[in-house]
Amino acid sequence: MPFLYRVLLWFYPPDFRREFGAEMTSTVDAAWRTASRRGWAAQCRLAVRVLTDWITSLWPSWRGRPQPRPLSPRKDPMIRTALRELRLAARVLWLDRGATFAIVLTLLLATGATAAVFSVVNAVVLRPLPFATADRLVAIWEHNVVRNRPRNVVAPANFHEWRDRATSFDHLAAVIDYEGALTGDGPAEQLAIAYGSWDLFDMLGVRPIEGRGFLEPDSAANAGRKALLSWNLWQRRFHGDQAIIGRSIHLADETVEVIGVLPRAFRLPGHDADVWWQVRYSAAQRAPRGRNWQVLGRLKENVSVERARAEMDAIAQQLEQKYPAFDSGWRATVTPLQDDLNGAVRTPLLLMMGAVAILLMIVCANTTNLLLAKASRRQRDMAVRTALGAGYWHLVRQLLAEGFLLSLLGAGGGLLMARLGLFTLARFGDTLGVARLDEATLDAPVLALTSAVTVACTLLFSLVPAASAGRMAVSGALASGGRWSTGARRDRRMRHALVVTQVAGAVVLVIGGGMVTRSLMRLVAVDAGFDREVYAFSIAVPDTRYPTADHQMRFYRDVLDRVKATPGVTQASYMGFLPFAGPGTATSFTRADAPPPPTGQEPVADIRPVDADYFATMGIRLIHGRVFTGDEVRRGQKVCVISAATAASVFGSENPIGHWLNINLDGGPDMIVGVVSDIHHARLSESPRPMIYYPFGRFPLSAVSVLMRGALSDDAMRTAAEAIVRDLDRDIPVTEPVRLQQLVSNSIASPRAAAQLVSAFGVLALTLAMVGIGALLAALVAARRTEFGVRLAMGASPSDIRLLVLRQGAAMIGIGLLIGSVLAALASKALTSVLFDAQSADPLVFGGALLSIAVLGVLAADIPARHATRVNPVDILR
Amino acid sequence: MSNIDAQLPLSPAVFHILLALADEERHGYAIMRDIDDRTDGIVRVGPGMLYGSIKWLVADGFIEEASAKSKDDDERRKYYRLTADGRALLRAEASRLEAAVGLARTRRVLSKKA
Repeated sequence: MPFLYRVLLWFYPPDFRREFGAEMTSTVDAAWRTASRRGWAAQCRLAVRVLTDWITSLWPSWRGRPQPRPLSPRKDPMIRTALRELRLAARVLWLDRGATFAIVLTLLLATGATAAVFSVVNAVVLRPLPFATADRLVAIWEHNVVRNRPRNVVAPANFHEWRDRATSFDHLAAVIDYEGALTGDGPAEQLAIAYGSWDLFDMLGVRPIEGRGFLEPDSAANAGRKALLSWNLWQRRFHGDQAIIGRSIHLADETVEVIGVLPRAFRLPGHDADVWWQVRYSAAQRAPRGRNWQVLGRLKENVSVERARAEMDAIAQQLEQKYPAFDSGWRATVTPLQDDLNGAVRTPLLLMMGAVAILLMIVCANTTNLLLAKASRRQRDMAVRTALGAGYWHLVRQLLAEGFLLSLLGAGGGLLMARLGLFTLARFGDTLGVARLDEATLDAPVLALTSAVTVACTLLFSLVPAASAGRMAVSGALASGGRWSTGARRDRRMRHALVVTQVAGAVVLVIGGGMVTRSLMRLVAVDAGFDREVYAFSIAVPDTRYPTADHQMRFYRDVLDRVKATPGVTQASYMGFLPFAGPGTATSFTRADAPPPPTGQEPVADIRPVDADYFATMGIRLIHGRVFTGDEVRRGQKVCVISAATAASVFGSENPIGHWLNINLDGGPDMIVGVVSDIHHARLSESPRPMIYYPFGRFPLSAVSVLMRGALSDDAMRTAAEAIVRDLDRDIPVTEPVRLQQLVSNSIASPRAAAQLVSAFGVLALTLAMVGIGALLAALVAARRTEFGVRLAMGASPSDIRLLVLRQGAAMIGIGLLIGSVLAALASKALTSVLFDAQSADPLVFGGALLSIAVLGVLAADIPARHATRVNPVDILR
Repeated sequence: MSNIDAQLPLSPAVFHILLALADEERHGYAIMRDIDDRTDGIVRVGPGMLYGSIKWLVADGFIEEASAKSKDDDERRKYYRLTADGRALLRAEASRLEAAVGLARTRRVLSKKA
């Protein structure tokens, strides 16, 4: 009972549950303990009391009645009748426990899957962003038309031009992600920082809960650093102390004044920062150079997205005139913020909804079939009641009550399943890369959908048998003794159609599951191009205490020497921008010994600063020439190593060694000394991007990844790294310690989860379809026992009978397979667009799915078929 | 005090909850027990009804959380006590009932001094 009560509590409104849930369970626990001492009768009385209290208080709790008054079950005739019908229905369902259990189980699976998937879709795609004027918020990107990159980050110079020129927006705000170590009191801690324009929070309608927000003077170039803390950081690091407002903290090597704390619920999807500090606008930003800002805007009231797009297009053309070298071929993309956030996940989620819808359809077909079988078993019961004077509505009301109880059990259990599912899903939100997944809850829209499914099920469950009851001839049903009489032919045809529907649905889901799984297998088999057993961690050095490249390089060198000296570590090196750990830098380049292509059409490559041992540590193969020497790395000489993809795109079959490249970094030409094999940098599903490596010493970074290779466990690697860095500088934290295998595997978490989910749906659908075929044929065999007995007595062999039944099953399976393949062929076109390396009519998947469903279907049909051969003609004819 | 008049008549559940808190601070389960004991199980208040009422009573300031807690107590429990408004509300309902009973007496529905 105490456990059941925790379940029942979920049906109360969330705020009520939060406020009183613990007290209520405590009360029930205490009452249960007392009742347990008095014996089982007291326990039963308590259970009844708690349940009736639950039923009568549920409605007032959602309505928020000012003064709760109980409904009075003893006085209201409507309620009295309803309770009586429900009691009777419960008894009927209990008598037919087996069928009830089967129906509730299928329903539970269906509502559970629907509620879980819908709540995710609702949280991620449908629910508006939690900001006051969410419908007017837009994301603005630069659009590189030549390279077809519509979501490029924005140049500060262009951002300022937009602010000067655009009239469609009442705010334009920049957001830039950053990170830095919080030092001073307590251990050093790496924090996610975000720069935000001073009016960003005004634009979003977010007010700090403590202190103040940014003001316009804070955006001046010479303004002091001000910070807004996230609620989490405030609680975690400063214990919710209000005295922190106005104090200074030491962050990313700057002295920063804390001016406020953001609300607990505030989250700007995609920018999960611990600290927000202001963007300072300066004249230097107006020089056209580099693109690295993200821009959000709020449309003025009554300005449409289309008008804003048109205006931004016109402004882009003006800027093309103003900065031909910098802005040629660039336009701007204006997208509603919600669509911008959902872009990548929308299609997969909607496909998931489709899969759930098919599953739901199969479940409904299956349940209706079970109920029809039940109804035909109950024809006699109904006939007796009608003969005794029960009216048609009386019977329908009774069937409605049964349907209601079934759906209630199914939906209640389904919500439990959905809750479990969500609980699991939310933990994977980050690895799945789905923004706002953790916001998925079983809230009002989800409950509304589940209730709608429940009501639909009730009607369906009750009305199908009711319709057949209505057509029934009383005398016929009584006379035929409950056998499958000719009057039920229409029912039988409907039941066949339902089984065909199930088979067809199963075909679609199994083929879908097969395609997703095969695509995942191909993805897993992709060679990343480097050794995934390498262990990596990151360190960032503050500019103030390591002001020059020499200081920084010396520190990295010290760390590396100690890492190499660690027992068990065989190789080590360091580099900037680790693969699969986020974006890196890319730039355009040209051959120094050939005429340059027109402006805006230069080839682009990712560029990575690396140490001499990088290639050996990572297991990247040398194809031509040589890698860097230690001396070249230290002195930062103008040499580079290019990847095979770069060599192929620029030099074709020519040997690139000894040629020179102009890399858009500092102008000077770099000599190519080596060519190495390709690696994947962010996604296994994309072909490797061209890559140029240069000696780390040329542009030392203030943050690096250190790579270690050896036979140590993850824990041993991390402990060693932390000890080494702490020993050298206790204010520098070790961040993101991870094995590369983990990073690669995280990058395919989303397709993996999709494959598991869709395959599970496929297996479920297949099982249901088999149960459907078996159950239908079993009913058919039961109804035709006499006929089979007669046939056997007339000399038919058992195998004739078996074949007769099997043929019926095979016909349904065949039609189902046919319809299913057509539907699957249509669905697979939609699927291929979101899958890696999938073909729309993969013969292996289609063949495998159809064959396995056919075989399993016939096996399911064979059980009742064998049963039919065991009819003893003597028994029948006697 | 128009706030109080607007609430009358109280539902039996609310009346008995207030009555249970009239002499001492109690937690939810103790309120339920008290009502059971006093009314011999005729008025039945379950946890849903009880906390639905408590939510409303706290929100309107008729009862408040009390800090009293004995050591061995279940820490999920909260104690409640009447506020001045709550006592006035209870008094108003009791007088209303008294007046109703008085009226019944004058019409000889009840015997005097029963």
